[in-house]
Amino acid sequence: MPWEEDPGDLYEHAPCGYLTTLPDGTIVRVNETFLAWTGYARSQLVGQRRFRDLLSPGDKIYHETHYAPLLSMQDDVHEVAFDVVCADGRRLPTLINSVLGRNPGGSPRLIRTTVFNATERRGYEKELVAARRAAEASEVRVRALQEVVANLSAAPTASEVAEAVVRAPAAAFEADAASVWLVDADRDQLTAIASTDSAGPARDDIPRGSSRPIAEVARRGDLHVVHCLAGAEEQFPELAETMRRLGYATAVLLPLTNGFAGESIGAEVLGVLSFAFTEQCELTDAELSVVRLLGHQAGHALDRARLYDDARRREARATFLAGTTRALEELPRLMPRARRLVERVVPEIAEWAAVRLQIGPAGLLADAGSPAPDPERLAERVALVVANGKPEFTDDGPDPDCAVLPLSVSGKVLGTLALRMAPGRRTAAAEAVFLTDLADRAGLALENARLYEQERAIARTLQRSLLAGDPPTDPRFAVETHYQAATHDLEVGGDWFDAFLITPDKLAVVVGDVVGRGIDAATTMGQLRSAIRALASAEAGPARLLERLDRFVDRVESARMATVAYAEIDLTTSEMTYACAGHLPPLLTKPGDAPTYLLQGRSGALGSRAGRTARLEHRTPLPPGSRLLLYTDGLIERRNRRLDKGFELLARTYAGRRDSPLPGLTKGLVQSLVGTDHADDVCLLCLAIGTEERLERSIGADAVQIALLRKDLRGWLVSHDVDEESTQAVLLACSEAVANAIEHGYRNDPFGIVDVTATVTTGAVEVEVTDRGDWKATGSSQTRGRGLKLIEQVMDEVVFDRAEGTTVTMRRTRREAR
Amino acid sequence: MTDQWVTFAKLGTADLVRLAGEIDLANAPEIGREIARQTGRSGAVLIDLTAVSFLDSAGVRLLDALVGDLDEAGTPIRLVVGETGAARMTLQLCAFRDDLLATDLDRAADEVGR
Amino acid sequence: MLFAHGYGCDQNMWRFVAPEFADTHRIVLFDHVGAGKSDLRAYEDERYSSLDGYASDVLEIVHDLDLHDVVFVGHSVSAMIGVLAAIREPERFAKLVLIGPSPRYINDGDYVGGFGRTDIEEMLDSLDNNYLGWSSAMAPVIMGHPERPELGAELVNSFCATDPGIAKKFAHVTFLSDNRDDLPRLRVPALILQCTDDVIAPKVVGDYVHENLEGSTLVAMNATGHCPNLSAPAETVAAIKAYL
Repeated sequence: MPWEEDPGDLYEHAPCGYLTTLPDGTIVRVNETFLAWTGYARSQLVGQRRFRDLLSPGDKIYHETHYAPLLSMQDDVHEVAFDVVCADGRRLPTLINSVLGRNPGGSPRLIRTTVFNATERRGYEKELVAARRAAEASEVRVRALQEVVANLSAAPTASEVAEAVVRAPAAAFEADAASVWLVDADRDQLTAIASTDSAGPARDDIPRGSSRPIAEVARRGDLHVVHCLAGAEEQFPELAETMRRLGYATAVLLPLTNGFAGESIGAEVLGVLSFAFTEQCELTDAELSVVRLLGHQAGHALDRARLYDDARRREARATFLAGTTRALEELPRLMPRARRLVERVVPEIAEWAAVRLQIGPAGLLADAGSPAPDPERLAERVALVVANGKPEFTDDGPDPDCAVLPLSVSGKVLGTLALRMAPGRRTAAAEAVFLTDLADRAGLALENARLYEQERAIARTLQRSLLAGDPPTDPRFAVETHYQAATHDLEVGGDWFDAFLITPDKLAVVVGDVVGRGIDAATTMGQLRSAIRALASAEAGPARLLERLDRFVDRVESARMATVAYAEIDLTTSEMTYACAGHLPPLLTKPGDAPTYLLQGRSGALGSRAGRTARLEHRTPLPPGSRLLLYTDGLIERRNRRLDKGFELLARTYAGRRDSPLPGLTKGLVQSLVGTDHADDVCLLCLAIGTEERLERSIGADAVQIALLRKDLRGWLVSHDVDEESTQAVLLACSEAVANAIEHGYRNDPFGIVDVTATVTTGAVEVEVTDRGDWKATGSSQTRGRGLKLIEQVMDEVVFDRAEGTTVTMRRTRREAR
Repeated sequence: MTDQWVTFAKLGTADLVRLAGEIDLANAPEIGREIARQTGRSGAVLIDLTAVSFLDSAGVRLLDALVGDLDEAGTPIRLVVGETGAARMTLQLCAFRDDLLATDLDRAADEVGR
Repeated sequence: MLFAHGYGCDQNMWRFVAPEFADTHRIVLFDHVGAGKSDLRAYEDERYSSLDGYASDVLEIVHDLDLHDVVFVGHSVSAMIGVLAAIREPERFAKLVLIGPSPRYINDGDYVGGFGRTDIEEMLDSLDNNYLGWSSAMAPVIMGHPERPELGAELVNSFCATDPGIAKKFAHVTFLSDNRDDLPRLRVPALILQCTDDVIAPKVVGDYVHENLEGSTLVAMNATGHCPNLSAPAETVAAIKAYL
């Protein structure tokens, strides 16, 4: 029959490929058709290769993970698509059907496979796949753009807008790299602000007038698509070089404008988005319109961010200026004010700032931050600004972003404020209005501080000269004074103290207070002080003296209503006569008694018309060991406290210090009652009368106190006529013993108290130093060893009692008794 | 801060350190640091103690350490004290070497400047 | 015994092996999400973006069925999934049987995994070709409704049913995974079954796993290919029994 076929020929030349393989895939039979399609010789395959060896690597995996398991389980597999790698490396798309033949026992025997040439069908399928991918890509692109637009509308700052925009090309077009450049109008340049590059945006800023492609596109305001290197060579040779270096085949340069789609006139270019592809690609019209849309969306977002930035910056500047004015007012003095100014400016406004003031021979300087500009160029510019009174801005050149501003008040240049803008801020020139405003305010504040300093210096000098002069020294008494000026007041007050001998046996002590402040008050105080010295006489007494002062005040109007506490002490009878003209009552401690306010001898202030004009005085005994305290109202008067509370507090504090050495006592009282921050001047005088038979002092565990104790002890020893050599010895021994107590006994207790008692007899001096510290585990016995040795060397008897704390009793025989 | 107690000058080739007032536990450590800072590279050092009105063992400690450092560096040093006075008393009590102590500043300067 | 199938198939692949242990062990079989009869709605991109998500599934099975002293038998990628699960909760596992394990399929410096990155991409193409190839009726699905996986499940006329979308993602996770650093953290004894001529997990990879798994046993099998449980079930069963 004509349609009869030779089975062998049919097998060999069937319209499909036949393969027979062992279960492990080894080819044992193959037909001509397969060999013709693939170009292999039979001998290359049979017994040599497994079927899977003929597959592409990807299909090998599919073969192992899908085909082979399926075949094992189903005994057949249909229409699996494999690419067979032909002898010449070409790939033949095929569809495979396989059947697994089994032995009677069920074990696999061989696999029969038919191979259909699926070139055309696979071509069609590939189109389908491509179409599917295109559809997916389009969907991805739309979704990506929606996301970008959503992010744009949520981005409040230009950099956040840029971060959102720079991600769009990869998401929407599968671009391989993208960068965003922002137009910086202040600096007339384009700055890279965002990049998909892991190293971050490029650091080279591009001047707007540059011939570089980014600047060119920003000027033209048009979308530029560079499809290939050749195109780039033609349009932007520089871009071609970059693309070649970074391996990009296609690049897109998109201006980000605030115009509307389709209109380019009047639209402002706010930035440029560049993106690139490593594979050359054509962007379709649809894609290009999406790119343009992106440019407009981003441009609008940048515009909005810019307005928002401006508003925020204006608000921040206003807040900063108001805050600076307030902060400067807090400090009345010049240098602290200048320092605060630079500290306000750095780092918030500038990374470096310096205030120079044309005051004094060398001028004053306060600076902060770094790096400072080149000193010579700076000096030139400062000189120029001082001469012209006009600010200097240097936006580029060797010291970029620096400004030197005059600090001036009504045309007079007081100095300069130089600064270098903080990185990331606008340029100094762009901030000119703000910086000038800042310098004007600072100039006024510094000029006020300068005037304050000037006035203060004059008044202080005057006051110091008036209060100068040591009180008389006499073994029969000791005087300790302290004056502390108000912290914040512009002017000095009219407080004063004085102590002088009217006769060799009559001592006068005074504390007074003139109404008002400033140079006038200081001058009046000086006049009153001199008047009292002139009017005091051996016969007159306090009441008469005040009467004469009243007459003096009639001529010196500024002295009216001044107050005075005045006392005369007869050193032979140990009697005191005192009088208070409108002044706070003196406070007296007698040995063994509590402190008492002296409320007698009171009359009105000097020149008072409402006060009692009859001047009274009062006499009271002043036994040896008494201490009399005169003071001005600054010590106890507080706006928010009743006066009697102040009296109570002073008496209590004074009582607590009755055993303190006289040196340092008045200062200590001011420190604990007033502190260092005080609204008023304070003036104190403490008079210790007579010679104590027994000196008893308590001092805090502070090395600084030892010198004060020594001073007190020396005076006491001298008043008892102790010889100089013994005095030296006792001072040394006592110092060492107290130092020991502080360094060891109270090494862990800065609030410990050391008690010192000294007694003197005709034959010897005895000193006892006691602490209640913990002497255990003294690790530094060597350092104090020398002190102990000194004590033992200079004293004749030394006894340690360590029953409770430590008491050192030291005795030295006086020279006369030796 | 230490100006009231210590000042520095040159006398011939030697660095002259003038101490004044009361030197004790409260100020000795600070004064010691200041002297060490100023005389770190001196060729010779003179310490003038004639104006010292009080010297305790902390002051002695400071001088002792200073002498030790300078001796080690081979730098000549003299302590100039008055014929009498607090500094002389304390230093003698502490048995400072005779070759360290001098009474005349100029002569001491000659000695160390040799 | 808990059997976990590898990539490309479902629990059917244990049909010749699992019954052999029914006398001595409680047998637990399951399909990974996306394979076999699993609930496709349970698939979450986030959870299954790494093998850890699959390891969590294994541990959930262990907890829900209150399994102890588990002998975990994992094929191919499930071998590594079992390793990750046993690192997290070693107290639940007695032994691991790892059939054709690979901690990293892609060559990396000195490390030989067997494939280049382009090979893997080609394989993903191959997946696309084959889901299309099984039925041209897929075309409308592909064009318009790729989210209708039930069509895919019906169209795949096979024992090893897999959802094409999930399979592709699973392929990504599987072939791009790198669990080399996890190997030394395993504290459960493991048996490694290494086939002859396995292109997916070549002998060097098996040796690498053996070296990095402390206390592991390596058995080189005569069986060829990647699925000895199907191509040589008797040898596979014998090797596992010998080990247990």
